[in-house]
Amino acid sequence: MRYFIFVFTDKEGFGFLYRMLICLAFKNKEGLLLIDKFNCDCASLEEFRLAREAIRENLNKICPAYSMQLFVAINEAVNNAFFHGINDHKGTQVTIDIIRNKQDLCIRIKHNGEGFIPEYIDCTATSEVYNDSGRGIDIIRHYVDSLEFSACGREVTMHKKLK
Amino acid sequence: MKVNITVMDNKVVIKLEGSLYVEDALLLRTKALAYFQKGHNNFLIDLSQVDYIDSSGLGALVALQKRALEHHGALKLHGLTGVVKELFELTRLNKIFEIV
Repeated sequence: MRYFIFVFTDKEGFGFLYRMLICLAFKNKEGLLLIDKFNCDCASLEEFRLAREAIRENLNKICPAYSMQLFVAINEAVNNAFFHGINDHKGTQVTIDIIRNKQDLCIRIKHNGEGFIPEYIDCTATSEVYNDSGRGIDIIRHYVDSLEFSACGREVTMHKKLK
Repeated sequence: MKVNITVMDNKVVIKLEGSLYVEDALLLRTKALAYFQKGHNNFLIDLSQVDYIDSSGLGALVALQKRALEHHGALKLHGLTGVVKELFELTRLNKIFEIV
């Protein structure tokens, strides 16, 4: 098994735009480059905006069959972190960890902000369809096999079984 | 995301292209509300070139539809495909929008 280390940093001089992306990758039997671990730190929604395409591309390499579904789940979870968990506190950041095992893909999104009580985030199953917000968690649940909040809402872990 | 807005036969046609994220949702809402202030109340939003819309984008469309109805007008959607169509269905928003 051949291992590579990729380090992506920003080239546009905005400081650490999406701080650093470190991927451990290997080639499978067919010679396809797979990445089994992916990490991204974002200190603002702007940094996450700049990191989105890299996340999409890496998900497509990690897990092409579910890449869009997983991207949808990650995008909603990171939006929740910035809008419901952090509350614009300075010095906070959101960390996205994606780890692929043989039969499972684990996504963990954590932040060091105030957190929130997950039960207070409404879902479409119980909320009015005409509400302007409250759909994110329900969308995440649709696309992953398990969703778990911990650390007072500062951390969310999602699992997707790979077939 | 690219936003192209034209007015045809007193109908505001908003053609979107790309992915509709949280920052785009705010932009879309602001641009569309400007047309309400000019007296328009009929909107057609073309999503045929949109490959993804997040929950804030869905929320923005709901808010604009409510505003259109308050102004005795309508907001219709066109061209839902792929993940975008799936997201409308799983959030049941396909039941409240007129999709043409």
